[in-house]
Amino acid sequence: MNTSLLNPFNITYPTAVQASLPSQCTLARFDRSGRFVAAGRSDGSAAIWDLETRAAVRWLEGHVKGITSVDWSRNSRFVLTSSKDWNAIVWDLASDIDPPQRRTTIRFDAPVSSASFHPRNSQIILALLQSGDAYLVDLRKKHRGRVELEEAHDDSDEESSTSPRSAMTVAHFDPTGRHIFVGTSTGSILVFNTRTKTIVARHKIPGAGVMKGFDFAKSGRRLVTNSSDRTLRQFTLPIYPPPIADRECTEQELEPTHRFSDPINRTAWHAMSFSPDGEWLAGGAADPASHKIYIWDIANDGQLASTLDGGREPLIYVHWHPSKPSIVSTTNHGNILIWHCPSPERWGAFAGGFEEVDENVEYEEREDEFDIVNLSLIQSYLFEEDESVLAKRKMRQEEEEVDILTGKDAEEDIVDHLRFNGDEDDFFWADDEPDEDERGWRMKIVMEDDDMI
Amino acid sequence: NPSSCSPLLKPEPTFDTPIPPYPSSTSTALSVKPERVSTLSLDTVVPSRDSGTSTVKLEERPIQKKKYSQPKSRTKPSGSTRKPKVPADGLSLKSKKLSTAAIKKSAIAARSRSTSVMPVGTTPVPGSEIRALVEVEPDDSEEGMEDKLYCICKTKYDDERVMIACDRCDEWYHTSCVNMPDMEVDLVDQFICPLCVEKNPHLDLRTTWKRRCLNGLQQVDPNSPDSCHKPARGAFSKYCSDECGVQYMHMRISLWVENGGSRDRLWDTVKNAERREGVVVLAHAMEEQSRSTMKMEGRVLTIVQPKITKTDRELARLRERLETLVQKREALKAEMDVVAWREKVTELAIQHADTIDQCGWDQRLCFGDEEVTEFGTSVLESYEEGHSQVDMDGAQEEAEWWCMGKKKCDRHFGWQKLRMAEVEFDKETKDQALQKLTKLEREIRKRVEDILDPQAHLGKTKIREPSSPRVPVLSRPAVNGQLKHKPNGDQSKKGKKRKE
Repeated sequence: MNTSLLNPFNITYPTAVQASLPSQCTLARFDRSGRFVAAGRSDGSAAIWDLETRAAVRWLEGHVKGITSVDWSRNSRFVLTSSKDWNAIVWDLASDIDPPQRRTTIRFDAPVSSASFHPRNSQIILALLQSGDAYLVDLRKKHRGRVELEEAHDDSDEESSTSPRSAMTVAHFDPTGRHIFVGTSTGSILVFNTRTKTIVARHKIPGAGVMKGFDFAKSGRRLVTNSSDRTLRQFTLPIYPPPIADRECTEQELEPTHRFSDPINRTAWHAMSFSPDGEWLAGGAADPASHKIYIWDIANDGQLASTLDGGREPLIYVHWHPSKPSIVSTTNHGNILIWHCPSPERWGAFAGGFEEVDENVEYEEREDEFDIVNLSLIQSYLFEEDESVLAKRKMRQEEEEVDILTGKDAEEDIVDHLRFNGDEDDFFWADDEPDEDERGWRMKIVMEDDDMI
Repeated sequence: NPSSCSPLLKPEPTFDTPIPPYPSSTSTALSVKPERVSTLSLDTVVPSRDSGTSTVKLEERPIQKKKYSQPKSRTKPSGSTRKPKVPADGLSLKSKKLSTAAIKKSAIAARSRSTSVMPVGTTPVPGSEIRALVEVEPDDSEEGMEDKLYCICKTKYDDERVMIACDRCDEWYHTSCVNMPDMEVDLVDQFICPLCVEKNPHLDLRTTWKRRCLNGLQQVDPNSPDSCHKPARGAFSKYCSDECGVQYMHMRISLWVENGGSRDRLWDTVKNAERREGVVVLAHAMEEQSRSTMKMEGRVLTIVQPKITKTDRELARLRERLETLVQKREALKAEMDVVAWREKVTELAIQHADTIDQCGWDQRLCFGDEEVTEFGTSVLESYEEGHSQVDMDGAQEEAEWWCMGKKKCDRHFGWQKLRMAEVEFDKETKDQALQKLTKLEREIRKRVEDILDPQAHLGKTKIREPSSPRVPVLSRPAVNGQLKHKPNGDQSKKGKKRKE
């Protein structure tokens, strides 16, 4: 009832903590539907929590060292976890062998700091190692292989020369999947084309230190960066031309449209997340004494809208729900906090004659008060409609099937609208040999004999 | 009216459950109608309601056993007083007469509607005030009964002889006149008198019978008066009563024990059996009639026996599950092989690294599963030959995969421990999964054997355990920020994952 009263055009930001899940985790991310949260723990296991039942439904054990990032596939079937034990594992949540078996393990020779799926095809994976290399791993049969993303050098003969090359510190797909954005330790953003793995643009961000994190708005046009100078910068991204054969790379300095920082305490930021409509930005402060999330109103010129206080346990990670005004944040002690927008029930607004009363009132209805016949009679007098027509309409209404099973489909391929420049090669390349992550897939309910928790 | 109904309503306590006391002022026939109508409203199955209730009746009124017969076929109880002589003021009669007369009356009334939906279209029997009897008020119906003539032999009512009513024309006939021995009377399902049969050759009418209690049929001499001649309880049971069933099983078991069976073992196998809660049968409309048919508005329905027996179906299902299980096991085993390969290579690489003064990290340890299948053997071979080549020049063309950095290489520092730990963990999880699958498989096989084994036939003894409870395999105790991982997992805490 609450959701129907909430104006769907007015997605605001959450204000209060709805629940706290004791998960002992360091990272938590919503899936695309917003129903599940994947929580990565420091002992190497990951838990999948179901928010509708507020219970953990799967445990993914496979890493021997702490997990550094989690990512969901498009329809929530596959989960990608990367860990400090040099591996990234793709888990198949549809597997019915118990315990859940992995789908593939991707091994590297250095700890993996982050790994993410291609937004359209979960068989394409971008992995960033702690050593500063980024790899694009393709698990499809036709395109199998892993490619290291490298900046093109004029002096391409030298194989070493790692010193002038700056280490990559962040790597992320953009929401369309066409480009990979890489942040370096010198404060630049490199843009690669996913299909050709060549660099398309290089942006130097003046003043930024080491790049620490990226977040994209759903449309893919805006990007927020978190850097070591403790400022969050929002950029509007230019449109990148399709990659041409010769190594042409646009060098451009990007100016941020907004800058977000904490002027008083100069606290750094651990993570940030856009709201689904891109109007709000949530920033998780790296405050060692409290759990603070700052909400900025981008539509209103980036003003600070509010500060959410989550208690005394300092924050580690923040993620906004993909469609609802809800945020998930993790604390130092391992708890997952779910924030929501508490709306007081206003039954008085439900219908005209409703009014809220303080105490129970015993009501005795008239004998003919709820007679349907009378109602239609009155209506027929009023509107001169045929009684039988009304009765028929009522019957038809009663027979309408109320659909309770299909949920709201998460972003309905908004991204497909962004096929600008007619460059569809990239999409075809990505969609070639699609993964098995179908839309209507549902996770099985697993019954446990002994009581949980 | 209510007063005239009272003689009939009085003996109701003896009738007990089957006929609910209705305060209706209409005729007695209607008052007992519900029982009737309920039987007719059954579409297909369970015609046994009738026999069930009739059995109940029979048991509850042992005195009336002989005289009172089942609803479907009406027989006039013998030994009762003449029915016409029940005056409006029933109180003057002796109680016995009253009761028997009343019983008879309601017995008639009870049966009268066996064909209430059937148009009684045959030639009316002369003096058919019987119909008038059941529709008109009781005090009127008593008159004129004395002189009515019944049966083919056209005699007055004699309450010493058993009579049965035709379900089409509602006429009463002596059982002796229609060639029905006393023992068969209980087994009649629907009686069609010879007259009706003759008069409607195109309809091909015949009397239908109920199945007889198995206890009676299986006796040494089924036709003797000692054997049970009561009808079976329809789809629910092959026996007329629980006692017959028990008696029959006693006989069977004692025979079996005589021939060398073990009573205890039999008890073990059947002790978990439960009563059936319901029966579902498939019925087809067919042209010909057979013994177990129910006639309904001209349409005849036959109960169809399922083509595949229950045990066969169960067997098929179990075998299918077995198949899928076996497949899963095969897949897991293949994966185990890969893990074993990794373990081997890791060990070899560690050994190799110990000998040389370099990092020694083997890049091929990063191989995915497909590469393992493709290049696996070549990797192992390279180690076998590797030892001899190590002393030679450091730059070996094929050996690009070994990291040449210093011993404590920046990038790969500590790879030995890490890789071993990972491989061990992987092996363990796969092992556990494999064990679970094996256990499941064993259970299913056992169940299949149980079914095939004729001694343990009752299907209900199976305990449902289709998918074993899913429990996180290696539950990790809550680590308070401690990052050290025990390579072999915490064996003692398998089972529940504790979230403290």
